[in-house]
Amino acid sequence: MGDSSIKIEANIWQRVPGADSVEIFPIIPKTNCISSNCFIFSARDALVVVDPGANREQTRQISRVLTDALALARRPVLVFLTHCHQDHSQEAGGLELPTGIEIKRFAHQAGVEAMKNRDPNLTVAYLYLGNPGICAAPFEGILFRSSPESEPSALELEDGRRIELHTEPIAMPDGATLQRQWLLLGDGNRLEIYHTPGHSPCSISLRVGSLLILGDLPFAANPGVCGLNGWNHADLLQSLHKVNWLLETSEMAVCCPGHGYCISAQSMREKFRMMEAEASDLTDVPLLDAERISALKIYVDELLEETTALLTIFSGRLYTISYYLSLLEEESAAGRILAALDIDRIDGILSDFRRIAEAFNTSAVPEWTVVLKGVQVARSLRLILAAEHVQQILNFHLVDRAQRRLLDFLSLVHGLQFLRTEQPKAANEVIAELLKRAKGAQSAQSNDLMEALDDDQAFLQALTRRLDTHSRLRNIDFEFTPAPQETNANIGAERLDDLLINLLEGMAGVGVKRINIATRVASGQVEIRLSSRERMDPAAFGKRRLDLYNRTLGWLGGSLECNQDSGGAEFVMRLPALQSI
Amino acid sequence: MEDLKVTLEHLESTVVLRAVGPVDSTTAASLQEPLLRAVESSSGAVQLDLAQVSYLSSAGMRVFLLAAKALQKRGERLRLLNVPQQIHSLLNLAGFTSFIDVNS
Repeated sequence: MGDSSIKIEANIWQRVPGADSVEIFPIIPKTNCISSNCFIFSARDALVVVDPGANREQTRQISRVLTDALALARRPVLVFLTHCHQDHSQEAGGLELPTGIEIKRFAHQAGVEAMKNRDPNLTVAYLYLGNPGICAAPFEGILFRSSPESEPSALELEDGRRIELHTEPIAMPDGATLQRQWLLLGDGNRLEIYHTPGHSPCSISLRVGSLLILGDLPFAANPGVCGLNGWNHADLLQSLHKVNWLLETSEMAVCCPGHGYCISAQSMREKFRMMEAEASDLTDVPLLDAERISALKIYVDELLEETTALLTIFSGRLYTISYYLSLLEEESAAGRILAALDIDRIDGILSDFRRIAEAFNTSAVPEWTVVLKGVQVARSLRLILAAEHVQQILNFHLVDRAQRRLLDFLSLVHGLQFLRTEQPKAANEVIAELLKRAKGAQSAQSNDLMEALDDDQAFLQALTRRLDTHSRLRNIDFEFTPAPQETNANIGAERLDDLLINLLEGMAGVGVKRINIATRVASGQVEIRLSSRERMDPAAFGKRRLDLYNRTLGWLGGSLECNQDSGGAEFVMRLPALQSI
Repeated sequence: MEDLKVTLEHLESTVVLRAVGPVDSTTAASLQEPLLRAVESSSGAVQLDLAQVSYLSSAGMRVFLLAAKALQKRGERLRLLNVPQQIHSLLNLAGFTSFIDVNS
């Protein structure tokens, strides 16, 4: 269905597919959550503006485009909001038009009431800095009224003409109803409006010809978006189903989202299929209110520090391998190693993110932006690290550890209770396996090297693996005193392993040479002590990283302590023993 | 946005560079250029003082690697001075302390 070759370009007038006498002028800023896309239609009987946005410069551009179009033919200007969120609606009253041009504004009843009542929740104004003004302009066109029979369905214009708003629901084959209203734009062209709640109760989609504007429906299942005030899981699933049916059955060619570029209807259907699968799990999503966003922002900071540390070590190890390969005059192998992972891209992503987080600290961007940027970064890094060749470069679980932290973050922003799905294992067993892995790596790889002597390529790969195991744990003298009792604790085996490795590597990183590990079970708690006779500076671990470990253990009912005195230093991890839960 | 500033001082046969600010993908070039120039133009030791470096990313490590490789060709090692603990720990875990001298 539809023509996937049709392209909608930003900042020029072009014909609307399926409506030859209507033109569209899309304004598509660099994707951000501060201000939305805006779409301007020019038809015989009206100019239509969908989502003016929340950026004064964009408003000036819209006003200029409208003024130029009005110079060719004077018509009323109709402003529609896909929903009342601040990034779409704030400038709805800010357009500057030539004298005598009439403007009428339309939005769903719930959105009109939210703006009229200055509701910071449904308009999500609470997400933005400095209490931005909620649009106070009048909305004459109230869409999908709860009691339509009591209200007029036509708006009178000053020149005596009328804008008739027709209500004509669509009965779908499966018995569902897609609520629809429409009005005429001239030359037989219609502007059709569909009620598509889920992202917000006031969400609508608008169709001209075979072009469909969807507002933020395509993002409604994203972490950091689902759970916003007014978000509704059941409505979202229904809307995805209905719009998908519409795309499938009505010769739609192009879909235009509220942020980012327009895509073919076919691509949007594929996106919706993925969204439906993702959204089906999003039951019990907690409200993404100001308090939760603040908590997520702190988590973003901690995640940034943890992920940056892991990936910097990861990249640094590749550089170390390349250094030694260069010494062995294996320059091309050294180059291949560095080319296998796009270190510069990872570094660029993390550096950009760090600067956005710093901008937040100077109050230049709202917390929500940082959380959404965190989601974007986590997704990008997960894709890079998921590549098979990356998995093969290094061992010792660094990549997996980074992946798990990123997934934790995405799950948490989604509001999913990831900690409950993990498989626990006895702490004694996790520690024994960890120590075996740390000490066993060297001898296993020595054998690899000997076995590969007759094959240049295999020898090089074995050498690379050997150079890679520059794990500081290998050089640490460990003493492990396991508790004689069962040490099953309320923590997944991989998470416990990650926490222990992070702390042990951190201790190794500050020069500790000997570590005693002891487990103990007392008062319904499993206690794990990592002690050293040497002093160490907890600051070297990074305060946020320690906060993150403490927070993670706190979610599980446990804690992390760092004690230091003249006799040395120790980390004490406490977790509820599993049988006591 | 924080910038990186690098100053250079000649102490007898040693060149000492002092970096102030973060070393990441946007600032690493400001360190690479004077550091590699110092390595190429001097026949003595090259030291880099990191006391005022607030953050080091892999882009900074890459600069150290380039300098270390160039110095290794004439039998020298890059020496990092006053390295903050957190950066020292990263360099240690990445294996850099096996071919660069790092003093906290």
